[in-house]
Amino acid sequence: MKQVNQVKLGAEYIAKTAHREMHDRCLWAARMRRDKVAASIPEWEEMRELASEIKLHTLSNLDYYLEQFAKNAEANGIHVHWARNAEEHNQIILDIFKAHNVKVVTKGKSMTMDECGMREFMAKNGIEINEADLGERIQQLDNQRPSHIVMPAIHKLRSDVASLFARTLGSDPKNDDPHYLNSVMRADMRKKYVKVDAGMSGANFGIAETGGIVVCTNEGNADISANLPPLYVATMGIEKVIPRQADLPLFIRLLSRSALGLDMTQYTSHYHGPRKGQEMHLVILDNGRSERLAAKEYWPVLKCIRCGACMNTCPVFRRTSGISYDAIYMGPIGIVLEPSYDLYKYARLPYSCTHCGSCGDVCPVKVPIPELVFYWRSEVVRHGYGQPTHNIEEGLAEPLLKSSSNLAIAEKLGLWALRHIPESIAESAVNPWAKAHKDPIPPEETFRQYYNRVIKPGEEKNEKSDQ
Amino acid sequence: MKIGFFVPCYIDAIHPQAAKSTYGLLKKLGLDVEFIERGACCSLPELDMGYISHACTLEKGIVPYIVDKGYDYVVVPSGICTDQFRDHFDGVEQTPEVIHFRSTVHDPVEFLHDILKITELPGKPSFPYRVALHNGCHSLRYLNEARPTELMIKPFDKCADLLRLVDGLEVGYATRRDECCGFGGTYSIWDPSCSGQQGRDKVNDYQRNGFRYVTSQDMSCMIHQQTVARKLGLDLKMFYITEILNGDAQP
Amino acid sequence: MDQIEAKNEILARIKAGKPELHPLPDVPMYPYNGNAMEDFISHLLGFDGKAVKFKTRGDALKWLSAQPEMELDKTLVYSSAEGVTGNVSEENIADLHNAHEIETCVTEGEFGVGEMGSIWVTDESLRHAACALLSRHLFVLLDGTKIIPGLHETYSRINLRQHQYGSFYTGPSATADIEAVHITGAQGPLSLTALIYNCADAPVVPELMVNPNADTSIYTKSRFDNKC
Repeated sequence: MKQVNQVKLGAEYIAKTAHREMHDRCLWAARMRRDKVAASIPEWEEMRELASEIKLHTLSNLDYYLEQFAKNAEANGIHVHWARNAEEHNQIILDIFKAHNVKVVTKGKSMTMDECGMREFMAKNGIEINEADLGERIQQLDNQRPSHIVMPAIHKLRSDVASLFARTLGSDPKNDDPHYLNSVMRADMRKKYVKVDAGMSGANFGIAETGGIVVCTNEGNADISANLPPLYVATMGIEKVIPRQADLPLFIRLLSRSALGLDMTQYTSHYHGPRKGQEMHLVILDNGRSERLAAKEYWPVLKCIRCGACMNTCPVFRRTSGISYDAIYMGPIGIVLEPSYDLYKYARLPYSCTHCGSCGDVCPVKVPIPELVFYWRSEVVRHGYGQPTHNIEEGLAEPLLKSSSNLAIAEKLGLWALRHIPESIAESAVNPWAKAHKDPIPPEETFRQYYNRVIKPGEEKNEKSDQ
Repeated sequence: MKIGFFVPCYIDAIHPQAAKSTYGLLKKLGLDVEFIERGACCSLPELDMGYISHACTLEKGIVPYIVDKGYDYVVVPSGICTDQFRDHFDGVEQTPEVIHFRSTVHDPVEFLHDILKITELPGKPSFPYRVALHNGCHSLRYLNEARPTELMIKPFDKCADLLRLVDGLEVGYATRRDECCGFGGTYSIWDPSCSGQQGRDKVNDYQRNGFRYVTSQDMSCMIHQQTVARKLGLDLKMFYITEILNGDAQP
Repeated sequence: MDQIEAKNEILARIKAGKPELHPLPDVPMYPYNGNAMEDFISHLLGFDGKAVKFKTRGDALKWLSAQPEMELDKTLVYSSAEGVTGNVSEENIADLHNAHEIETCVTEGEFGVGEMGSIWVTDESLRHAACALLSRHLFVLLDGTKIIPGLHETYSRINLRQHQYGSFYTGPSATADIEAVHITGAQGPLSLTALIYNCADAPVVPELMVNPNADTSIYTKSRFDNKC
């Protein structure tokens, strides 16, 4: 199996100037809006701490809250299912669909379903799933994964969408006005809504105390998917449960503000049972989460509420796009989450980080992403999955760096090279640094040399005159 | 008060002026400063890449010279190395001496601002220019030397406080004032595309805002940004903060 | 598939591996210190919603009946609001898919939230949520005395378990999925107008308040479906 090479894929996106500049500009604007709305709330930092504490508590007592949640949900008339892994998740839903003779489904955005490869599985089983979120639909039509948790097609230019829609939906290829493109999507989806047999969505929160789920969206697609068809199926990861109704406003106040810098999602919807004449199913998914919960080094990663704020602020993500991570979860949260699914395949991801720490500071539930990056890098090396070039570099570095005398020799060698190797060679392809940088101008002497030449003799003289 | 002066490898080899200016400034303040001659690498590059056992070897190697000398404080002219000592020096036995060292190691900004609490600079340095201040990510988010723009806390900026003691100097910032410049240690070598793009975006930001001079408490960021700016042919000059504070910065 | 087995196994795995118990903090009832009414309106307008203030409910109903969206001879109107008559009967939408044809929906909001400009609606007030979601223009009657400053307090006055569906609607449906360009009228309504009654300071002549920077470049027609 091939390892994902984010650096290479990222470089391809960076080279596409118009894409990169648009992507960086849009996400940075979201980060700036987030700063503005967060600053308007005096208790913002206190809320982050509380939200983190509530998540830590819930996770540390998760079996209790899940049972309470399931019991209450069932009392509300929701059919609750438990899936140990992606295969079970998909099979459970397929069985429900078969029992109801479901052929066509509309679906609100759900990272958890993406994680299970649910759409592809259903396609193989003859069930047509139509994404009802504009960005997610764009990605579905383009056979590409979402590139961002809350803005799935943000790496695409409007012209990309125009040609995609022209190809797949027959729209005017020359009209790339996003309003027009949205209207094309709307018209196409509306035809589908009236025909669908079932609706699906993810869940942002499950409330143990009340046995209901909360789904936050802007477009209204999840609400239509849930409220129109005779069958509604939702999926929720086990980590999404919170204890009490009174905890909910805290998370709602943080979520959309962190995600897009908006005070609220347009539709913040609570489901506590099926509509009259409807059947509602909820699949509670583990898929490795209970294993992560048992890992003392990284279980706090389960606090994540999937807002995407870490992606908007990440300087690497903004320039390389979520597509370059070639994974379900991308950006800062992706590079500390994906290795827990498959360490070998995603061994390079934790290196796509400059350690700037901004993700940790924007995270509304204080997932310690920067610390987890360090942790995963050490795990990659411990399992022998480090890049051969890294192994050589760090292996050579250890003896050079470990004593002052060796270090002095290494520095001298380095400076000799800087002074004497002609620029044409130094800046050739063998030197990755030279891709973006000039070599530094070598100083006349190191501090150590200066100390021995100037300072030390002066100090000795002073000591003598003191005596 | 006995002060150990630890010079990180990249400062020693590539920009020794940062060490010279820091050493000079501490001496001018009349302090008892001892250069830690046998100090070697702080182990950051190894730890950064996940090579924990290598990092342990390096940490063990320098303990006798940096920890066991009984310094009241150790000053390290580099934010990244200071943070390495304070927050990640876990590969050695945590003796009382190691714990003392970890809590008394400072970069010059912390040392001048928080420990010495200076209100004027010796020799009354002057630098009558607009200077862009780049708060390096480590100093900003791990050493807490200024308010990161993400955090909704009371604004403060220790570097700016110190720079305002310099005659005629006007502190300014890039538009994206604390976005990472893309150095990231070994990151700049292993991902030259993204690191380079971040660096170009950063220096172009200075250029658009009409800056000619940039300073930071993290020389690693400055070396990265300076060499990116030179690659683009931009007229930007970068200084380590003590070069300006000690009156050594040449316009 | 044995559900009991899956459930038990997941719970057992959690029990075996879960970290040491962390304490559960209480969530304080954080107050919102703005003016509930003013901020409700400005936030709602910020989401491209519209608002009109009225002294009485009667004034609101009178104003509403004069709107072009309510011309019953030309448009399909569904109403779940008391005192407002539509022309779509309950039988007509027994099959909810017919809701797609509805142009205008009038309903009741139970609470407003100053902090966000959100309106709390429920299955009870909407009767058929599908009508509110599929109509092109949504009018929500809201008692001005039921605008609550902050979200914490709002939740404290709601019993979630009483409602199969309850939602905070905050402006019309919207998307920013293409180059982050803000567009109103994604999948749901193109417009949402809050009719706020029991406002002592309502002007004598009702004034429709809109966001001057609202997204107005709505494509009302496309070649696929002129009921876009």
